[in-house]
Amino acid sequence: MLVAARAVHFASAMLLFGELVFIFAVARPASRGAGRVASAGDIYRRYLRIGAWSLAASIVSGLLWLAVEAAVMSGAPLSQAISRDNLGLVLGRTVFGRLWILRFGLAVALAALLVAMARSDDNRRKPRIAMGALVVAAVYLAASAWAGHAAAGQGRERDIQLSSDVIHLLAAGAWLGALPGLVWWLGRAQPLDAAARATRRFSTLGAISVGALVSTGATNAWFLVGTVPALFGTEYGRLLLAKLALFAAMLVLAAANRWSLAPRVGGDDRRALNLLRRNAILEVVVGALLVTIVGLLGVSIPGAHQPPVWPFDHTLSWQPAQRLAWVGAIAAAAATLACVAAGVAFEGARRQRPRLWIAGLICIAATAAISAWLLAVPAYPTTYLVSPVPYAADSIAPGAALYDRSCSACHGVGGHGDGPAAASLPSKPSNLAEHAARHRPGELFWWIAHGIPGTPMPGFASQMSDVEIWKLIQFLRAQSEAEDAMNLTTSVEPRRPVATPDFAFERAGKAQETVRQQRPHVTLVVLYTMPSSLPRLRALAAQERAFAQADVRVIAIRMDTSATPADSETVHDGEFMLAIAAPRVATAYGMFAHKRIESRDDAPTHVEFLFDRQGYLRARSLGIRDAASAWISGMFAQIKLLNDEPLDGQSPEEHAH
Amino acid sequence: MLLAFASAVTLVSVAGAHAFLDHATPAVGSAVHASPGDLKLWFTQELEPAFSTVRVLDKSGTRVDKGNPKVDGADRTLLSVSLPRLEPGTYRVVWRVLSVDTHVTEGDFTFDVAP
Repeated sequence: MLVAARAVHFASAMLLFGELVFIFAVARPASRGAGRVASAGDIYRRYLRIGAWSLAASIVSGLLWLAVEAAVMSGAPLSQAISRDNLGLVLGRTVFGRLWILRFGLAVALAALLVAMARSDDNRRKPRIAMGALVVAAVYLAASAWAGHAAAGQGRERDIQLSSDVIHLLAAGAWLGALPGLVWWLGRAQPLDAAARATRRFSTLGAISVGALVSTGATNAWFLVGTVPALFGTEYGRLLLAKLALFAAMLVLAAANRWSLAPRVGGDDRRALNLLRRNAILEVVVGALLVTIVGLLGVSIPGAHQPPVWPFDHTLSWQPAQRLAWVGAIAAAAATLACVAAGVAFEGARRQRPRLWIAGLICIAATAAISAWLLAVPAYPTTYLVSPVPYAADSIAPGAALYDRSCSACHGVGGHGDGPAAASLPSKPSNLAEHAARHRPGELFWWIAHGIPGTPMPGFASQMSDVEIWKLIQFLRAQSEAEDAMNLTTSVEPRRPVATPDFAFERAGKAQETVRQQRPHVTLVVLYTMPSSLPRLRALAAQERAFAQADVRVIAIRMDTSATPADSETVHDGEFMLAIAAPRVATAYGMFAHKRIESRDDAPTHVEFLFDRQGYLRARSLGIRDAASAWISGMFAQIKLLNDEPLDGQSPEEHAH
Repeated sequence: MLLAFASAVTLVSVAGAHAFLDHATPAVGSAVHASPGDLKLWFTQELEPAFSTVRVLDKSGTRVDKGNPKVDGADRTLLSVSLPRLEPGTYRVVWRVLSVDTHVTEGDFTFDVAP
C-alpha cells in the first residue's frame, strides 16, 4: 500500500509539473505561426481538467502515505497509528511530517491557482497564472527529495545527494509528465507540419531531461548502491536494473520518434503520425511502470547497506592477471585492441561505411569476451559479503579456539599448511597466511562452510554457526597480520602497516572506552605481568607528563589475570594508564608478540605496542630487557615521527589486501 | 546447493537487521567492571527523536534503565539512556530507531557487568 501510495503520489506530482512544462516548452511555441492546432483556450481547459484530477490523486495518495508512514514509524496498527496523538508526533516532530505540511500547503496553493485560472476569462492573464502554477508545482515535486534516502546523508554528501535528487525529479517530471500532453497534441494536430514541429521541440526537451536524468541518476546510484555486487546481488540493485531497462526502452521509442518518424511526418506521411502517437502512448505506459519501481525503491533498503548475494557462478577479478604475467599481457593487449577498434567503429559511423563500423563493433565484442574469459574466477553467493563480526579481540579469541579445534591438525598452528595430519593427505593443505590475505572474506566463508570439491577440505556448516565462521575468518586475518608484525622492531619504519584488532577497556572510575576511540592519537598499548613488569610500569608512570605533552594515550593491560586494585597501589600514579580488559585481549594481542608464528609459547611476559594515529601497529618491543634500554630513550623520538605523519589513507577497518 | 543458498539467505537477514548500529558504550558483547552511568548507541544515520527508543533488560526480561532514552541535540546519530547501579550479570539492549529518511531499523545485543 505504501508502494502504491508513493507511486501514485510521484506520478501525479510529475503530471502537475510536466503538463505545464509541455504548455510552455512545446504547445505554445509550436502553435505559433502556421495553422491552428489548438486554441489557447483548449490548452488551458485541458490543463484544468488534468490538473484537478492529478491534484486530487496527489492529495489522496499523500494522505494515505502519511497514514501508512505513521503506522510504520510508531509500529502500531494503522487504526491506532492515525490517532491524533501519533499524527501530531509525526507531523510536528519528524522531518517527514514537517515536509508533509509544507507540501500540503503547496497543494492548497496550487488548487487556488487552478480555481483562479478557471475563473479568469482573460486569455492574456492565464499564461501568468499558469507560470505561477509552474513554479509552485516545481517546488511541490522537488521537495519530495527530502522524504527519500538522500535526506539521511550527512554533511556535503547530503547536499550533493539532495541537489541531484531535486534535478532528477524535475527532469523526470519535465519528460514523463509532459508525455500525455504530446499524445493529446498528436491526436489533433492539423496540419501535419505542426505535429512534426511539436515532436522536434519535445525531443529537445527530452534530450535535456535525459542528460540530467543520466548524470543525477549515476550520482544517486553511486551513493545508494556503490558497487557492482550490490547492483546484481541486492533487491535494491535489481530493482534499479529493471528501472534502467525500462528507461532504455523509453529511449529507444524516443529515438525512433525523433530520427525516423518525425521527418516522415514532416513529409506529410499520415501513417507515420499514427505510429508516432502509438509510440508516445507506449512511452507513457513504460513510464508508469518505471514510476511504480520508484515507489518500490523508496521503501527498500539501499543496496549499499545490504549484504549482496552474488547471483552468478563467476565474477571478474584482477587476481589471474596478478598471478600469471601472460594473462595480464593478453588482457592489456585486448584493451589496446578494443581502443583501436572503437576508433575504427567511430570513423566508420562518421563516414557512413557500415562494414567498417560493424567490423569495429565485432572486434570490441571479441576482445571483451577474451578478457572476460581470462579474468573470470569462480564466485559464490557469499563472495561479496562483508563480515557482520568486527575485527576485534572479542571475535579473534573465540576464532582462535575454533581454529585449534577444527583447522590446525591439517593447516598447522601457524597456518602454513604443515599440521601433523597434513602428510597423510593426498594434497598439501593451503597456506592460510597467504590465502587469508589474497582472498575476499566472503570466499573464505564459502570454503569453510561448504568445503572445496576435489580437495580434502571438508565443509564445516554443520559444526559451526555462521557467526562462528566469521569469527574464525577474523582470526585468520589476525594471523596473517601477525605474520607481518614479526618484522616490526622498536623503530617506526614506512612499511606495510599491520591492522590492529579493536578492544574495549576500562580505567579506574572511568566509562568504558575502545582502542578505536583513541584515534587520531598515537597510542601505546602495554601488556604486562606482575611482578616482573613492575619496574618498567613505574618507569612509564613517571613519564605521565611527557605522554600528555606528546598527546599519547597509554593503555596498560595485565596479561596473566585481570588487573587488581593492588596494581595501581604498587605502581604509584599509574591511574592514567592502568586498564582492565577481558582476557581475550591478551589472547588476541599475544599473536602479535611472537618471534615466530609457528610457536605460540614463546610470547614474552611483557610487550609494548606503538599504534599510529590511524590505528595501525607500527613498532613493538618484546620483553623487559628491550623495554628498559634503547626503547625507553628512543620511544619519544618514535612518537614524534608518528605525530608528524599526515593523516591519510584507509583505517584498518576499510583496509583490505 | 539448496541448503547452501538457504544459509546464505538467512545470513543476509541477520546482518541486515544490524546494519545501522555503528558502535556502542558499553561495547557490543563486552564486559564492564564498573556499573556504567548510561548506555550510548551511535548509529550510521541521523535519528528522529520522537520515534527512536532503547530499552535495557536484565536476565529475567525486566526493564532496568531509567526510561529516558533521548537523541543527543548536537549529534543526532547518538541515542542514550540513563542506567541505575547495575548488579553483576548479563543485560540485553533492545533498540528500535527511525532514521530521518523514514526507515525503521531494530536490533539487540548484550553486555555483561562483571563482579
